[in-house]
Amino acid sequence: MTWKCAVADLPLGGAKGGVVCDPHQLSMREQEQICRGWVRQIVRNVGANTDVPAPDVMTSAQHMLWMLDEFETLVGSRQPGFITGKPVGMGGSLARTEATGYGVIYTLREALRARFRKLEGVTASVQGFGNVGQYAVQLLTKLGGKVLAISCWDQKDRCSYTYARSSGVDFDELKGITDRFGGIEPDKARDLGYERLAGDAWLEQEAELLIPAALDREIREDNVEKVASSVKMIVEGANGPTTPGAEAMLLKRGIEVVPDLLANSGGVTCSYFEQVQSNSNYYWERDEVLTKLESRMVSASAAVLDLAERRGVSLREAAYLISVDRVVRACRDRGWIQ
Amino acid sequence: MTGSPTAGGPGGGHETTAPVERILGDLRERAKELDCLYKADELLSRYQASPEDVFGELVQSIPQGWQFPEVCCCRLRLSGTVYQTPGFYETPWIQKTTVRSHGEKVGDLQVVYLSPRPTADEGPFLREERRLLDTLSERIGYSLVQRELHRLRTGMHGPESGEGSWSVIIQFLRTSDPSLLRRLAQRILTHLQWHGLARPEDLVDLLPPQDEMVDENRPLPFHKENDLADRAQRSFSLAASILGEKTLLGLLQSWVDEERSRFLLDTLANSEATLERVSSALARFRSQGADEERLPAPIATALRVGLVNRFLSDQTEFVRQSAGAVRVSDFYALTERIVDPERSHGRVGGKTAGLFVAWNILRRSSEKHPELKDIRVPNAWVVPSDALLAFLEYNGFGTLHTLKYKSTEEIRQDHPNLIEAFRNSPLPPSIRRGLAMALDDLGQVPLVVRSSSLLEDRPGSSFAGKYRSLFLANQGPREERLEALERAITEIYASVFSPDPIGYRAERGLLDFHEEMSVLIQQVVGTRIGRYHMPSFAGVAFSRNELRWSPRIQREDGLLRLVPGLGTRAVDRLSDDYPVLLAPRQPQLRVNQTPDEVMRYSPRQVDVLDLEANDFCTRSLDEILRECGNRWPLIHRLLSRVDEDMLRPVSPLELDFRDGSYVVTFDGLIAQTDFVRRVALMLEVLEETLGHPVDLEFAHDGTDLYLLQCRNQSFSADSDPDVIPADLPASQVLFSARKYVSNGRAPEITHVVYVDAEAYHALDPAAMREVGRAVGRLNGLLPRRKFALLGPGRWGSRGDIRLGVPVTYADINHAAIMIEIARQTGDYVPDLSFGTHFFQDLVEAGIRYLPLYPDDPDVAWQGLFFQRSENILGELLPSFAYLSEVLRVIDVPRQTEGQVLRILCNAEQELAVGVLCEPGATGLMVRAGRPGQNLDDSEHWKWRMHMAERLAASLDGARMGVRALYVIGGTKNGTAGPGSDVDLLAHFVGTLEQREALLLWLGAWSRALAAMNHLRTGYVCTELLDVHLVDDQALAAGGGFASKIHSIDDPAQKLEMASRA
Repeated sequence: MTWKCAVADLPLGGAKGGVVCDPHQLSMREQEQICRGWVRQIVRNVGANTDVPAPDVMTSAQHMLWMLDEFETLVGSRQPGFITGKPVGMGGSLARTEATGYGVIYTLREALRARFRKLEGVTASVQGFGNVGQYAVQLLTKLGGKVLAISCWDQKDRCSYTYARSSGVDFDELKGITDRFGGIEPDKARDLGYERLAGDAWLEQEAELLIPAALDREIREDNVEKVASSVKMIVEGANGPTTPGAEAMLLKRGIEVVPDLLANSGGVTCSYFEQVQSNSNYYWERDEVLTKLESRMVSASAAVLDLAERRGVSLREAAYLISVDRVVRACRDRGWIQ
Repeated sequence: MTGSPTAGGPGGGHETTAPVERILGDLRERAKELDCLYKADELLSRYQASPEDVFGELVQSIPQGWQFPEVCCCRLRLSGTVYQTPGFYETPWIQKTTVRSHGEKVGDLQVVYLSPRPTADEGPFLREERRLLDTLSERIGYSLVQRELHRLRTGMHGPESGEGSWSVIIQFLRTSDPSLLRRLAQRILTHLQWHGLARPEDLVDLLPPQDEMVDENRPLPFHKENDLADRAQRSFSLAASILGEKTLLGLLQSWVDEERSRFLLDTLANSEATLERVSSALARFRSQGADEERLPAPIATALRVGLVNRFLSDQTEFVRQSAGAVRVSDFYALTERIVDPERSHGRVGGKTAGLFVAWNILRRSSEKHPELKDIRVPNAWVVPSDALLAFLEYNGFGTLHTLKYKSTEEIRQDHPNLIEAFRNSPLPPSIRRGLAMALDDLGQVPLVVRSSSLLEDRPGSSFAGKYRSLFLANQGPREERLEALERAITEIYASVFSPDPIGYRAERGLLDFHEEMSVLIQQVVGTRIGRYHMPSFAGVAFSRNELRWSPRIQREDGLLRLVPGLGTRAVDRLSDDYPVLLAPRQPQLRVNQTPDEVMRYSPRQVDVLDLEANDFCTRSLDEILRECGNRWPLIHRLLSRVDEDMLRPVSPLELDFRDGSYVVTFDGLIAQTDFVRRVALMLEVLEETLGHPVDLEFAHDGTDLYLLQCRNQSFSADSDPDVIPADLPASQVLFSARKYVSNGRAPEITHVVYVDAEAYHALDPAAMREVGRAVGRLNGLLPRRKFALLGPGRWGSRGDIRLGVPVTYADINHAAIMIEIARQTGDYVPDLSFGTHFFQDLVEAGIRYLPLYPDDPDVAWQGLFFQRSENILGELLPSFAYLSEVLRVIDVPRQTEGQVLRILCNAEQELAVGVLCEPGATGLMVRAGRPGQNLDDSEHWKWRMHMAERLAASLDGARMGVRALYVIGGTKNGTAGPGSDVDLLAHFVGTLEQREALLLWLGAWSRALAAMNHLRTGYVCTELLDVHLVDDQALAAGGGFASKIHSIDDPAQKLEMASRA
């Protein structure tokens, strides 16, 4: 998280904390007690200007609200900036759902621009139609891009399928036949002229872009060969979708990989916005959030693209160089290291 | 209860009118008749009122029971007193009868028509009116005795009562019922003697003389009874002096009460008595105001046992359990809702009996537990069991009784014709009339017609789902509704002769029992919501939880499966949807915790009755909510609002169904109402009273909770404990478990996938993921539902994958059982997952789960078998051979000379064992009285796979231009059902002629297989094969079906051919 925040140029660091327990064996009431107990133990070490918790594995907005409530009770004042991941109306930020997916496309647009390409008319194949995938497709098609194929999980058949249409995906149309878990209804998709292919067919599409936005380790040494020759760029919407070995082979083929560190940092940027809004007790309109997100993503991307160009390194290397450099510089400026 | 008036059937008393009119007329008559009787009973039981009032009012009410009340008058003469309606005079159109009290004439009762009316059975009077008149006079006579007794009783207790007030009783009985007097006198003496209260010398001359010599070959000498009254007088006098007046009168009272129940006992003991006779004896018992609580215990028990035996079941176990739980008075309502009891000797069947007993237990316990007070049962009627025989006889289907001895194939072939024949055959007229009456009583609300077999719900034979339950929307004109009801009943009757129940009965050794099946016609609980009729929610509840998702849940905490709408979706396992699971005694420990899990595993479909289409159907929840969610009672208790990644309770005000962001959680119901507590209490009370765990069906219409069914849980397939022999040879037992064992059946295991804990923990995370991927591949290769997964810690771990192999449900969905092993490391034993990562998927697919703790004392663990047996991983997945140290695949028969692994679970003993045995082993592994319970679903795909292999083996590929043949889809994936196609993929390289020849050849196979499948399963289709041809070009392109051949997640399975092109 330190590196992700650094590359996105957010004035935040990273740390992890948690409670060893299995929520599946606990009632909600017991989970609430644990959340509150945890805050009571750590209250001296956290706070809006000290350390800001956010939800991760097995925790949801509900847990954040319990923690917030306990914290505010202990310190005796309103402290919405103490924690992020809160629902809208309780200190949460608008546009949080869209942030990651939109961020992917903002980054993509900048990367293309640096290669003197426009987003209009570019073709893409997307893996995953959950939060990230959906909003990425929405923005990409809105900005004139063309999505040829989308793969998604089919809960009924317990496997994933790729839905492809050479004329491109109509986002609203497809969204209308998608359940809340990102599963597309096969029959209705067929009626709309989509061809149903095997789950990993998204990887083989004759598109210029691949956007893996589902799970990690989806592009591996054993399937990287299937990536079509038309592909110019892979934008990592998910965390760690490309294995290092596969990335090396892609780079050798001249296919660029926009790293997850940069491409999906829209989410953490929006968490930062949530904290900023909470601290100032002033909540922005959705458009305002998105405008600020865009400008952040643009400058973060520009820095990475620029460094990669100047130093002749991959985008991933550039992203890590920038983030490590920023952290090191801060440490040096503070006199922690020479 | 009296029978229907036109007992003569077609051609009876009213030839001129249309059948429906006639039925209606009959019903009206019957209703009047019943009204009249009830009114009379009610009046006659007012013993404290003066005779003038009672009899005066009675004669006024009697004419209403006759066909032409406007010209009907009535007169009652009793011991010189005359009670009559105004304007009474004797006319030629008169019906009269004598009133007798204890055999002596005390008066008469007359009914006249003042002007002529059309001729009927007895002048202008109907046959039924004669019967009514006789019944009335009988009841009047009886009430006279009761009045007298009442007068005496109240007199005795009054201030006047003193020495010898019982002598009035003697005087009264001396003339009215000497035999009763004799019995009372005898009993008082026996009482004194038995309790040693009287000196023998006092008794000597009161007891019958003892003969000095009893010669067994000679009749006893006859002693003429001396003055009975005198002997009685002396006996009572003696008793009064010893016991005191009050005790004596108390004894007399209870004996008189007992005498009053004698006729009911006699009727119950008479096996010839029809249901109608029993019912009317019961009605008489009721009209006397007899109080069974005051009866001596043996009599009350005899009555209850007799009634249970007569109406409910002759199963000793059932009689024992229920006789203690029901009261005579409980049967009053039941007997009023039996269709055509006139000639019937039948019973109401298992389903009705179970529900009846359970409901009465709950009602009775509501004093102690007020929460149970308002639990209801839906209004229902019963067609008794022998009506099926009447139907068969009426339509000349007598030969069908031999059908069950035919082969299943023959039965199956005939069955469609039989259904058609049954549906087109009329029910006997008396049953039709009864049904018409039932239909009027039940009203124009949807009905469910359910089989209630006598063999059903016997210990060891759960017929759940073997017979039919049919839903009727019951809308439209009365004639149509009646016709639909009749057709539903005949269809249920046909199901008795369908191959599946017959096969099932044959397996259970019940074939030779004469199957009589009663039919339960129940109102469908619910309200009208838009065009639909459905309950707010419904479900099933079990006393024992066999699906524990946490070690904190005990078996005794029970299990609830809840669904919105009709409960049909909670009863069956669902392939594409999930009910909400709950342990009623620990409702806070939910299966799903994160909002994502809750949403993924929530019900999305609803079963409803569509009143406009007059049909039962399944609708999507979102659709119904949008259409009419606002009218759905209690909906705000069922739903939670999805608010980003938070689920919030909803208030009725904020409900807005235009966006679909709601999910069924039942959170409101659980947290805000006492529903769960009530269900838990129901389970507890029923289990305690009946002495066995129960399995309930229930529904809630938004206002009331209704009980729909109650069965013994140990009879149901999922709760059936295995018998574990105590003397299993230790060498055959691979492992055993003594913690968290659940009942339920695991199939025979031929392959074990074992992940070695130590080796696994030594891997780096990337390699751990590879283990997960390899398991996923094995899942596609090993025989479905025949392999066990054994691994350390938590299968499906996502965060910290050192805790267990990272797999998703799709990676393990063909396993038969998932076993988690917790080895002690240092001083701690890791927590197991209990399958929580995909718990509900496991439940719906019937995949078993078992945790093992090999380091516990008293458990077996043959680690060496798993570590040293030959590992066939390399054979199956050469590319994963490098994981052989970690991942071991054991072909059990190959290792053990043909044996298989059976996992026997017995939760009662808290013991599970994995034991090697012969496939299909009997003796060692016979399950308690139930071999071969429900044909395994996997039979369907196995048969298909087998036939596909045989087809391939006879395919001359060289001649027909086939290079390779593959099987894909459900047959390969082990999901094919009885009606599924067999999907084949042929790599075709031949000419057009070869193509034609191939298609012709395959077509013949296809039709032959379809015919075979029909005989096996009853599913009708003309062809069974679905063949896809791909050529080299398509193969090279790799799209469409061709992509299956090299697919990673769902690869086609290649079949061996006789030859290839």
